[in-house]
Amino acid sequence: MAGALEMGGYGIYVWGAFALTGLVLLICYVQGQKSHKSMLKTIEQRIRVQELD
Amino acid sequence: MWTWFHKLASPPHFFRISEKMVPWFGISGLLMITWGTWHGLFVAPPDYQQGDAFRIIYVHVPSAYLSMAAYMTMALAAGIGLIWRIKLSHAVAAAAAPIGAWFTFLALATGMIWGRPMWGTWWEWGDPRLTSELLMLFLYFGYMALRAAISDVKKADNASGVLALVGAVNIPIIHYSVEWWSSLHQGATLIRADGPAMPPEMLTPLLFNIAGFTLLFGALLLIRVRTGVIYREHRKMWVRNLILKGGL
Repeated sequence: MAGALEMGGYGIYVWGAFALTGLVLLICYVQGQKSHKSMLKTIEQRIRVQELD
Repeated sequence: MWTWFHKLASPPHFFRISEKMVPWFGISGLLMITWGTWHGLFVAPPDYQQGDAFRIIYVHVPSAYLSMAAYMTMALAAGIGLIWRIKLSHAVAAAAAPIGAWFTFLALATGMIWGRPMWGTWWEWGDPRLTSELLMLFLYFGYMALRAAISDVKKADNASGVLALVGAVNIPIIHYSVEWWSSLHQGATLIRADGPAMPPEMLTPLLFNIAGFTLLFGALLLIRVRTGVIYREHRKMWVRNLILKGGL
């Protein structure tokens, strides 16, 4: 376990690179989902207002 | 084949199909990345020169490959949109830009992390591979800024489409930079005339991660294209019906 964490003395670089990749992929997914949901909400509100008019 | 493409270019049809494709792309991509990362970190032997530091290749190469693939997707879609006036193409181009920018950032950041222990420096301004990749990040920023600056969607599509096409000249420069000029960056590992310069136990996890990242890119792209389609078509009846019925 300690050997895997150490990665032959390059642990900080190897794990840092993998952690950053995971974080960026997560941000990419969350950003996409968030903008999709907020777009749906905005359009739904617009349609409801038009229906009331 | 053309009929299938033509049908797919119809926004309502694309919307129905893409809804089913997103989870398939996303889940299969994640499974492949999990397998590739596990084998890359714990099963593949250390490199005889770089030791365990070489394992950064399993995230750096897929990110770098996708940074270029996303740009090609963006330029190709923009070109199709400009020539054949297919609205969906411009939505694809616009959706590819932020994802491509993230992958370019990732390629640069993981490259810097790898470069520090191997080259003794985080960054080298004179290196053609590093600077041409950075230029691509600025091209993505320029494309997104141009789109955001023009409120009329058609005008934004046309102006940003031309920029995407012009910027595509940078792709071969990035790819061949290590051959054309002297560079700190190592030469091609995978695409070589005499085959990949890696043994199978190192190569297989890398190929899995490249395939997994590509599938994940597909899922992320479809999510954003769906958002773009809804925005562009929000006055159309099919969108109104879907929203009011809660089918989105």
